[in-house]
Amino acid sequence: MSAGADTTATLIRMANQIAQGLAREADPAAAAAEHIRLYWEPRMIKALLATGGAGLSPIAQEAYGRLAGA
Amino acid sequence: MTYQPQADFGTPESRSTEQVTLTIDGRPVTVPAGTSVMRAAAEIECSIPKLCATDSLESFGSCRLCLVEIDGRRGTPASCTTPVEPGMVVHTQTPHLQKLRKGVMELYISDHPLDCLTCAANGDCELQDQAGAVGLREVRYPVEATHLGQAKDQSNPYFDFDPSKCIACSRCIRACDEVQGTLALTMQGRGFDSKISAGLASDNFLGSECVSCGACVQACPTATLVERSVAEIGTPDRAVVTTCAYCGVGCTFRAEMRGEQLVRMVPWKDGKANHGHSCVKGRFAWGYAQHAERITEPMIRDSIDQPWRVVSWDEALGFAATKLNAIKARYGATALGGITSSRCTNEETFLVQKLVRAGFGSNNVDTCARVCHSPTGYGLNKTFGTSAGTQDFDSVDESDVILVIGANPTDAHPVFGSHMKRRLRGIDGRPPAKLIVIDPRRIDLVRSPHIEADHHLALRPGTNVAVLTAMAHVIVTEGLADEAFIRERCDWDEYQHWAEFVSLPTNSPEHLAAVTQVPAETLRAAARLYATGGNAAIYYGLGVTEHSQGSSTVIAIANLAMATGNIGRRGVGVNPLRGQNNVQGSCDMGSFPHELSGYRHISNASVRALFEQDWGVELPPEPGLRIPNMLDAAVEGTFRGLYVQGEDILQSDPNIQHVAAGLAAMDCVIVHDLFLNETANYAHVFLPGSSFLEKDGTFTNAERRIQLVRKVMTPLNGMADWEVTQALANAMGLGWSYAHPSEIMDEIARLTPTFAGVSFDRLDKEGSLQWPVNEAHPDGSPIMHVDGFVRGKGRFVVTDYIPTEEKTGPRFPLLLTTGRILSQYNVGAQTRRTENSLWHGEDQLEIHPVDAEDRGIRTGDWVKLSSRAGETTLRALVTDRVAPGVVYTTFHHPDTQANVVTTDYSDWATNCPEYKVTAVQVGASNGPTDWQRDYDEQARRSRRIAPVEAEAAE
Ligand code: SF4
Ligand code: SF4
Ligand code: SF4
Ligand code: FES
Repeated sequence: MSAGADTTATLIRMANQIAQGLAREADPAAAAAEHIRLYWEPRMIKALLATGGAGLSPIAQEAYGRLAGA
Repeated sequence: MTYQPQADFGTPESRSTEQVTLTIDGRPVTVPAGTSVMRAAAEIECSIPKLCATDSLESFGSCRLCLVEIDGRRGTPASCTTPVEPGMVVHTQTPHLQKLRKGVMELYISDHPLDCLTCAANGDCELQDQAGAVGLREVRYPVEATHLGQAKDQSNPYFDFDPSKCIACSRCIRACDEVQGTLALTMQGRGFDSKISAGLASDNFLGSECVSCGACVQACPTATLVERSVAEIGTPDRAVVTTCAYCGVGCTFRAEMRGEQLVRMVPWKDGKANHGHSCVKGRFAWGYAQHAERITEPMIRDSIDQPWRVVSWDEALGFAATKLNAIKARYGATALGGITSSRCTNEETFLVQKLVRAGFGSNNVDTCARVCHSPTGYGLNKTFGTSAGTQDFDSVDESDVILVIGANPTDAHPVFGSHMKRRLRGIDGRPPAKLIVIDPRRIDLVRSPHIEADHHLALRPGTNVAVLTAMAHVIVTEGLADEAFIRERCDWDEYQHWAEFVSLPTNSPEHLAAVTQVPAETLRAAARLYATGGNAAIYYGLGVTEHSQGSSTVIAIANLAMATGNIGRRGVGVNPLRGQNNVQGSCDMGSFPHELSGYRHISNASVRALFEQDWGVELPPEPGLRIPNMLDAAVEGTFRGLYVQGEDILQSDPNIQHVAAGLAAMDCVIVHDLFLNETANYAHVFLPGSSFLEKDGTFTNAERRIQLVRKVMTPLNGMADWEVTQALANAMGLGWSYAHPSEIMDEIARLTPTFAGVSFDRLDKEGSLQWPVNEAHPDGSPIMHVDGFVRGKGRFVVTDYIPTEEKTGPRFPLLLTTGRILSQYNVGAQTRRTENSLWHGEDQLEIHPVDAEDRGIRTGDWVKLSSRAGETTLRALVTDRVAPGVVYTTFHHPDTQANVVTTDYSDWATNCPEYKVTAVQVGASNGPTDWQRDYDEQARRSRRIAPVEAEAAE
């Protein structure tokens, strides 16, 4: 996805929601990154990584780092 | 085979394990203790004449036709009310009995019209049969009595009530009471004057409480209550057992046929999900299958502003395949995808996902179960290790406490609702089960005849997690948790972590009452009852899953069940009530983009290898796109072709404008359905579908029960749906060669460990199987997690209450929540095309009197319902069923487009849309909104079908 404004906003919101939903896990960022890898199609991950991560919550930000590093 | 009604043993089966042997007419017979003499006789095919008894009802003993003589006993006891005793010697046929019975029969017949030859029930009438059985040849009383010549009540669209033919046996009243639990019928007057009436004497059936389940019609021994279709078509000449295609209860029916014409659907007494009961949809609302609007020929068009062109199957399939192959060549496999149907069979669903994965070459397959129960999959998998309800329906018979949350069984799962009501009324002779209802709305179950919920937690929509966490708080802090169970069956450390969390003062009912609006004392009482009331079972529905915290709520439910030890035996458990008939099956069959059949993740290389070997292709290891993401990608231009089988995503998915934009952006949308549904307005290829009466296959109901669907007539469109998918695959060059759905099931069994022991042969022989059916559970699994959780140790997962981002404010001060009603089904494509619309002609907005008064709204007024996403108009119904601040509507009618106003917020883990909470405003309306007008115009243009002459001219 070449990420229009709407789609980008949706992906950021989804990532934040996931991070929040997993905030009580032992390693929330790892859990969030894993969740995204398990359920998101590669295009979506790529589009998320293309956003630069602006608007992500701290946990989502960290998960983002792990996805980018992987 | 000639037509035979199902055998009637006269009185219900006894469940006793103790056996009793007696002699009937010189023949020995052994039956369970508690069996009636009548039933024991029927077991050896000795049918004692009877009128007021039938085996779906408790014996009543009013007609005195079933008299017998018993050695050593005086008089002639009624065999239906006399239980067997060891060594009893019974005579069913003596000159004395014959004389008595003739006398009884004569009385009945003297008050009955003698128009047998023209009667709808001719040949299928117990009165007629019994007159023959007792050898009645003359009637000595003048035929003039009081019953004759009364007006028929034909208000119900599906059955007639002809009081002249009534013999006052009260079977109908007892059926409505014992089987259905609606108590709509009463008997007025006595003796010859007695008359059955629906509610008040002034009411007719349609105007009464009657929900048209048909139980009374089935129980009636005469033509007093008879299906109108029998009156119109004639009596059936053969019967085929098949499974209802409406809801997740999965009732089985005898489709009673005359030639290729369906005469009536009669609930099958041996059906393990329904035990001979039915609801108005499965019993009567099958007329849609032959509705005039059904499209039976394929159609194509190059763009959606052109009219449809009717073409041959070859042309349509060739056209579709060319387009799909071209998209694949130009944009790659990931530009293609498909949507499987929760209404189609397991075999059809499996084929669609196979077509997408093996044929298209992407994992872009999703299903409408996404929008209803995907959180169930996620939540139960996390905690228990598998994605399914833990119990069979009959388990409810052993429940002491029933907790219903976000479900409305009497409307959405009516036959199970009736079953549950029997337990709640204690008519099985045990103390009634206690009832806790957690729902923003006062659903029928909260207060109905002889049932009153012990606790109704009328929470604010969107606060399920807060309520469940507060319940957990009470259970843990008051020391009500079942620690022995937890230590043995669950991960103790995780439990402690969870227990610590729920014990926080911020999770107390007192603290959370501010957000949930549930009084702390009510919540505490409910939690105590659930934890200490004996066997406690939780039943939940879309009111749990369709939230931004849907997955968390499912997890919170599982946590509660584990913490109180309510899992792994009869009477307890966690039970998702599935919406459409094959939601369970479509999920089991690998319809989600991230998993193959049997809930195995696509990233698992060994699982993939299994499929790759069998299918001879390589599968992409990454998950594919979900429905909302497909639509996003379509707008972006990277997703261009979609095959939709048997679903109407335009109407059932949230944010309809987003769906419309996504569909409009695609190059090739293939809709495979019975009707030109709303999605078809954006389609380029229409492949006509077949109804459940026209194909073989299996459905899996909410209790994991796999049951056969049997073909009873030739498909009007020429092909069953699995054949259409296969033809499309072959047009794309895939070379499939399934000759029968049983071969597809063999493939499923071969590739799916939980289905290893399933085959059509076995299903045919055994009636049904509940998965897992494998080496460990060769005969299937009515109850799951009996000796341990599927995942090993049960896992407690902390669920934080996170308020939805959808918030009320000055512009949108009310919360809208949505639901369904009994007579309509889902988006209504089928039920709207039947007489069921008599009960629910349009969607209505329920609003509390206080909110209504503030806005000057009265019942029946047109109102505008607006949210941040959009607006629509519908009529208001002022009622205190909803709390102040909450409004409620259904979404069965396309003109309402309730989903125009729902937002695209969704569950954090699965993207299941948040249908159950939308901030809205309600105000007076000046008629349809612009969107409704534009939509109507687009739909009207898009549905045009070019006349065949025009086609020739082109
Ligand atoms: S159709 Fe069902 S609800 Fe209506 S009167 Fe008969 S048994 Fe009762
Ligand atoms: S309507 Fe039928 S079932 Fe009811 S009392 Fe009359 S004969 Fe019996
Ligand atoms: S309860 Fe469900 S499965 Fe049973 S008849 Fe009604 S719609 Fe069909
Ligand atoms: S059948 Fe036994 S009394 Fe009617």
